[in-house]
Formats: sequence, structure tokens, C-alpha cells
Amino acid sequence: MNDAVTVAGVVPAEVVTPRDLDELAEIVRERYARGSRFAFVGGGTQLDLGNRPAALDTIVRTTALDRVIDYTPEDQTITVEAGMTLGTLDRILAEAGQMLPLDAGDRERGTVGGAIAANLAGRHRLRYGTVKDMIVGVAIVRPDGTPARGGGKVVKNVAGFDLPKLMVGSLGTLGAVATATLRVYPVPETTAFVAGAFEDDDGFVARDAAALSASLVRERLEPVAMWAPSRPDGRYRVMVEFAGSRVAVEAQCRACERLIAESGVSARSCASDGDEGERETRARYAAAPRIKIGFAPASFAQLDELIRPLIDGDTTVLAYPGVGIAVIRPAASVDHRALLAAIRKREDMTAVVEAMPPQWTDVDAWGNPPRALRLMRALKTSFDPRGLCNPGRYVAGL
Amino acid sequence: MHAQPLAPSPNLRERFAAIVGERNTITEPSDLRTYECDGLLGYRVRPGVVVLPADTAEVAACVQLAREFDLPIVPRGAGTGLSGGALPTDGCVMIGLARMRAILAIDLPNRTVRVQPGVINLDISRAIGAEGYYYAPDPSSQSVCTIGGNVAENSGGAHCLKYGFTVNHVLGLTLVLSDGSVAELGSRNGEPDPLGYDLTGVVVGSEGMTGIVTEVLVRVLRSAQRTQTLFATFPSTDEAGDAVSRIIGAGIVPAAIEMCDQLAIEAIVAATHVDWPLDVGALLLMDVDGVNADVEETAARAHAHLEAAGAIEIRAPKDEAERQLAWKGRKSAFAAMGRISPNYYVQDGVIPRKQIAPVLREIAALGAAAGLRIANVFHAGDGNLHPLVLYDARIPGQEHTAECVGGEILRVCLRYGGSVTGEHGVGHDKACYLGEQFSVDDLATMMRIRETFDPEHRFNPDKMFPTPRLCGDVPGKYVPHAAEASGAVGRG
Repeated sequence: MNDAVTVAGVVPAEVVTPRDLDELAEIVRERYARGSRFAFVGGGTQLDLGNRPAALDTIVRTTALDRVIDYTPEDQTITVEAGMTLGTLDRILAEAGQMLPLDAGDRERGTVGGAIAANLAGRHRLRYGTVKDMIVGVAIVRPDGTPARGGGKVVKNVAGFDLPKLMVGSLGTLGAVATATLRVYPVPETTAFVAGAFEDDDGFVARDAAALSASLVRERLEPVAMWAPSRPDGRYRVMVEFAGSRVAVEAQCRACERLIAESGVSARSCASDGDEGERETRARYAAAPRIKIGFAPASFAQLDELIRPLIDGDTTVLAYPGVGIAVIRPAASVDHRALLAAIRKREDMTAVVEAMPPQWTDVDAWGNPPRALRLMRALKTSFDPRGLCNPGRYVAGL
Repeated sequence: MHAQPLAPSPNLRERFAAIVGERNTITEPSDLRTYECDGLLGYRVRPGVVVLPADTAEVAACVQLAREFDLPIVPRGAGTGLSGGALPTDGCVMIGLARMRAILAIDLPNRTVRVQPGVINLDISRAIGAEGYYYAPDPSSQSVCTIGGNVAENSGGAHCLKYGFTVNHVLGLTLVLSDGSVAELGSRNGEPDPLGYDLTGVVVGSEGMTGIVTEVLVRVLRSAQRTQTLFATFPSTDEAGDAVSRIIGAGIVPAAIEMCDQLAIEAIVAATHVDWPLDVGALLLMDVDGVNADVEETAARAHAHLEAAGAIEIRAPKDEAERQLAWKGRKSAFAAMGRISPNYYVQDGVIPRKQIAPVLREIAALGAAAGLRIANVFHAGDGNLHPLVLYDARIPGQEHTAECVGGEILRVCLRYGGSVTGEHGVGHDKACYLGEQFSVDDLATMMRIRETFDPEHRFNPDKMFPTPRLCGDVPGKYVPHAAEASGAVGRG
């Protein structure tokens, strides 16, 4: 297997691939005792996320940890090792008519552990939420090599501190996720889409796209996703996805078409998304440079107003007005520092460089330190007193 | 370890009164009685002083003062908790959040509401109900319990099956730490994915051991187009349990599925005016919600599964009033136990949901062997059991036997791969069982998280974590129940 792995451009001295959970713990314990700086890598799909590590001695690849530990379809939970790819997981679940509604760019490479560590989420978070809403248990290996568990295998459980939630989005700085128990969902009977403004002559301004999102809520429709890719003219197209029973999906598509027509924009329903869904996934996880903006859902129009003067027609914006996420790929001509600074000035917005191009050497991927940084530092120090675990890459050097 | 608590000196009282006012500083023994226990009624400990602050600054000042006197602090909401999470530590400073009951901001465009911790759970939904929104987590005590307490316990409720628990609905928090400083966690205004570790997710469910929550930003939901309630009766819990397995296994996600066994039905019928039949072994109360067309179809599918599992009768409430009455019956079930028993001990274990029928049989055997009746009324859809062990405290030894049976029930849950608590928390009640669910290393890791927030164990000491003092010489020490010692029940 190809062992050439670099993390944000840093090449480690060694790459080790534990064959089982005991070996994972042993490798971590040994490297920690030795004072090696190490990082965990699954499929390696998120290696451009975050800041450049100061240095890295060891990469621990989790890809050989790919077993199912427990799957009881009737309970709608599955426990797997962290190195299992999302694609493999999909196939196992599909046999029982189930799915993990967690979107990722490359499911054949991306792993369960990586999805947890990076808190991956795409368009379906509108209905299904994020990893936080699906994870019910973890086994981890702490930076010092100690295995520990939190949560459990049942969907409802408040025993002990919530270690699973803590691991979500922690980017491997508190140790490795070794196994995870996830809540899974039935595959819906059918899926359909409503496309708005796909003709050339009209389009949504941001305010109308936000209004459409609000009216879907007002009318108590239950789309599983809504996304709005920008067009070169600064307007947006809109895709709304419905899933469930055939009759309910059809009824909701018709209602959604009416809502779109009210805003004076052309709309059509389709049983298939053409390749819009795939295009969304590609754009959501496009190659660097890629910035993810988080905003309070009702302020999409304000966000658009804020960024509009700072970008140009070659910059793509992919917005999810209902959840408050916009993904921007600034064109080369855009002053990315000014763009990031403008957003980061806002207290109720975040701008994370999810894929950092090598030439952005003086950019912090995360931006303003979180308000509770002191607590986060204390937590990091408690788990990793020597600061050896994924050093320098995460928020504010955690 | 804290200094041996003393009776509060006049000086201490004066100092707290200077922060929160005379009226809100309680030291009279007769007034302190109210605060000696929470919903876990079997234990009473007198706090040294109870203070009722009005805002974050007053909470912070009280924490600093308690620290100056090196006194433990126990936070308290409405005192409805069932695991003794708000049970005082002897001589502690109890910080009651009942006066902090302001709804600070309602932001429906962003679907958030910011509240103080003393706000009653149901009052959020009442404040936004007219606009068609509600707060989803619905513990049965929701008309009296507070959001602060819900955050501490990560409270669930019947409709968490579809909508998730408190942790899935809390976006941000203000937290007073043990040094009196104030931390702001999570989302400010409803923006997703706040940077850094998910400390909000850790504080929710931390049972008052990380700090005192003084503001909560919650997500609220738009109510569904339609809700259809189904009511089904069965010859026994075997068929009812089978029905639940079939429905969940078929990929149907109802908003709620609740089960009551015969004894629970008897109590609820005696205490409320529901017209449930008394000659059945179990009933299921189920909500299906969503868009109109989906509800109809899902309810029809669920109906078919109920029938196939052997339901005696399946019906829908004839109107909203009857629907509300059915749910009121369900939510008053614990209180209704007073109609059939002088005392009861509530248990809260979780099992994989396909195992309901065999686990209920084992629980019944435990009760029979101990000579105690056990009623079951619980969240069947997510396998969260609430066996109510009925006893008479006037009979010497019976309370202890009930507790032992309760403990054995938890061991059954663990043996089936479950958990010792689904929503009531570990608190005082189950600290000794946590060591049977988690290893020493697991607990030490959790302790690291706790000590990050509260290195001195100032907040709610002696809760959740098994200690030799609480549990005997060995953490989680196993004491065989009389029924087991006699060979009536075994451990597998």
C-alpha cells in the first residue's frame, strides 16, 4: 500500500498501520512514551483541513481497523472500527435497508473515524443533523495509549460524561477514535427534488433564497436537504430534496413548487436530481481553496451582502440557508485575507479554511479563538500533557 | 476533600445575604427541609445554606464565597430529579436557580430561544406555541421541571425517540465555573459548528459537576403538520414488546412509543380519568407525526404491525381532547403509583429495543422472587425501561429490598448490552453501578473531563463517580440480592 501521507504539507518520519485495536493502543502508548509527535489518519480525505503542524514524527493509519463489531438492524445501531470506509459501511447497511445519513466527499476513502474527527456534514444535516446526532458510543485510545470508552450501544443513555460528543470534531487532538456506535436510519422509500431557477432568465437573490428556506419551515414541509449554488451573475439556483413515502414526497414537491413560483422563479420537480446531488457533494468538498462559513440561518442575506463586494463571478458560493452554512471557493483574483477578515469580524459568524492551499502561508485556518479557549486548553492538557497528539493543526493550537 | 462542614456561622449568612438578599438566603432548619432531597425521596441531607441568586453575576459571587469558605456547592432546579442529582452534600451551599426564570430572547427566524436555567421546560413551548413552534424534549415532569435541570441530566422524554434528547437541542450555554469565572460555550446566536471542542455537548448531562449553567440557548422546532396517536392493547407485555420490535425493525420512526403494563394501567386509571381497559396485559401509546400524507401512510403501516403482533384492540383518540387525556395519563404514571402502593422506587435502565419482552420477563421474576410487585411504564421505542418497584416503607426492610431489586434490574440491563440510565442520570442513586458499566480507565477519563471544569470537585461532589465511601470497600461492589442468594434468580 502507498504510505506517502502528508498532513497539511508536513511529511512524517514514519507511517504505521496497526492491524487491530490492541496494536493501535500499543503503538500510541509506545510513541507517546518516546515523545514522538503523532497524528491519526484514516482515508486521508481531510488532510488539507486545519493549520500546518509544526512537525510530525509518526502517522498512525487506521485503515486496517475496518471490522464490524456489532450490527443489529432491528435496533438501528451499528458498531464498527474507526478505519472502516463510509462506502463499506453504506453497503453493509444497505443490505438491511438502512443508511448513515452523513455526507462526505469521497466515501470509498473517507472513514468513520475521520468523519467523526473532522465532523463531516453535508446537505442532509438539514433533516438528520450531524455526527453529534448519530453517535451513541465510542472507544478511544487516549494520547498516552490508554483505551477508554464512553456512551454505549443503546440509542438512549446518559450514564457518565459524554465522551462521544467530545470526540466529534476534535480532529484527533484528544486521541484516536478506535470504534464507534452509530444510530442508523431506514432508507426512505423514495427521493425527489425540486429545482428552482435552473433556467437562465431568472434566479434567486440571497434574500429570496432565505425567504424560501423560511417558508418551507412555515408551511411545515420536511425537506431532507436544501442547497443554493451561486451563478456567475451573483444569483442563486435552489435545489430542495424530499424523501419518504411516495405520496408524501409528491405532495411536498408540489407544495414546494408553489412556494418557489410565488417568488417569481421557475421551478420543476424531478424524480432524479440529474447530477445536481453529485455536483453538490463535489462542490461541498472541492479541492483547496475552500472556506466554510457558519452563520445564524436567518442572516443569509446579510452574509451575501457582506461577501458580495469581496468576491467575483469566478468565485463559487454553495449555500445551505436552512442550516446556516455557506461554502466558498474564492477565485485566484479574490483577496482571501480581506474576505476572511470581513467574516471573522462578525461575532455570530465563523469562517474556517477547510482546504488550505499551500500558498496561503500566513492564514490561520480557524480564525478567532473560541470564547472558551481556556477550558479547551485545560482539557487538551489533561488528555495530552506533553502536547504530542496532532500538534499545531487544530483550533488555536489545541 | 473539603473541611468538615459546620453549621453556617452568622457571618456566612450575612455574606450570602449581601449577594442575593436576606429573603433569598435560607438557613432556618424548618425552611431548609424543602431542600433536603429531590425526587429521590428515600434520602435526605440538610444543606448548610440555600441561596437563590437572580442572575449570572450573583451566581458567580456565591460560587466565589463558597470557595472562600471551602464549602461544597450543590445546584438545584425544581428538585424533580429522580437520581438524587440535587441531593445536598452535608452542610453544602445549595444554589437554587428557581428565581432565574426569565425567557431572555425568542428568535423564531433562527429557531432559537435563550432562557435562564429556572425556566420551566413547558413554558418555552407555551411562549412560542401560538406561532406554531415548540421545544422538543418532553420529560414527563415538563410542567414543573426546569431547563437547568434538564441540561444537567440530559433529560429525555417520550418524543425523544424521533427528536433527540436535551443535548441535541442545546446550542450554547453560559456556565459559572468553580473559580467564579464565567465561560461562554457553543453557539452565540444559532450559528452552526462553533469552533473547538464541543464543551456544550459535555456540560449537558454532566449532572451539575462542571459548573452552574446560568443561560441556555435552545433550538426550537416547528410543529409537524399532523400528529396521529394510536392506542393498542395486548394480552401481555410479550406481544406489546414484539409490536415495538416489529415497528422499529420495519424502519418506522414514530415520534413516540410508550408502553404500560397491567399494573401501571391499573394505577393510571385509578388516578386519572382515562378509559383504558383493566383486563389487558399491556398497552402501547404511540404518536406518528410529520407531513399529512406521510402520517396517514405511516400510521397505517404501524397499525398493520400492531395487529400482526397480536393486538386486542387498536384505536385512535376520537378528538384532540381524548388524545391529550391519554398523554396526560401516561405522563402522570409515576405519581399515579400512589393509588396502588404506599411507596415506589423508580428505576431507569436501557436495553436494546428488540429485547423488551425477555427483559420484562426477567424483571418480573426478580420482583416475584423478592415478593414485590413491579409496574412498568416506559419509553419502549428507545428501550428505556422504567420499572417501578412497589413497596411499603412501614414494613421493615422492604425499602432496602426494593432498592436491591432495582439494582438487580440494572444488572439485567447491562447483561443485555444496555445502560444503567437513559434519562434520569446517575446522581447519588446509581453511582455504585456506574463502575459495573464502565472500567476504571473509562471512569478515570471521564474524571479528567470533570476536573478540567472543576479541579477541586467543588460542584456536586459525591455524585456519579463510584467511591469507596459511597459504595463500600470496592467501587461498584456486588452484593447478591436475597432472591439470588436463595437461588431463585441467577446471573448470566
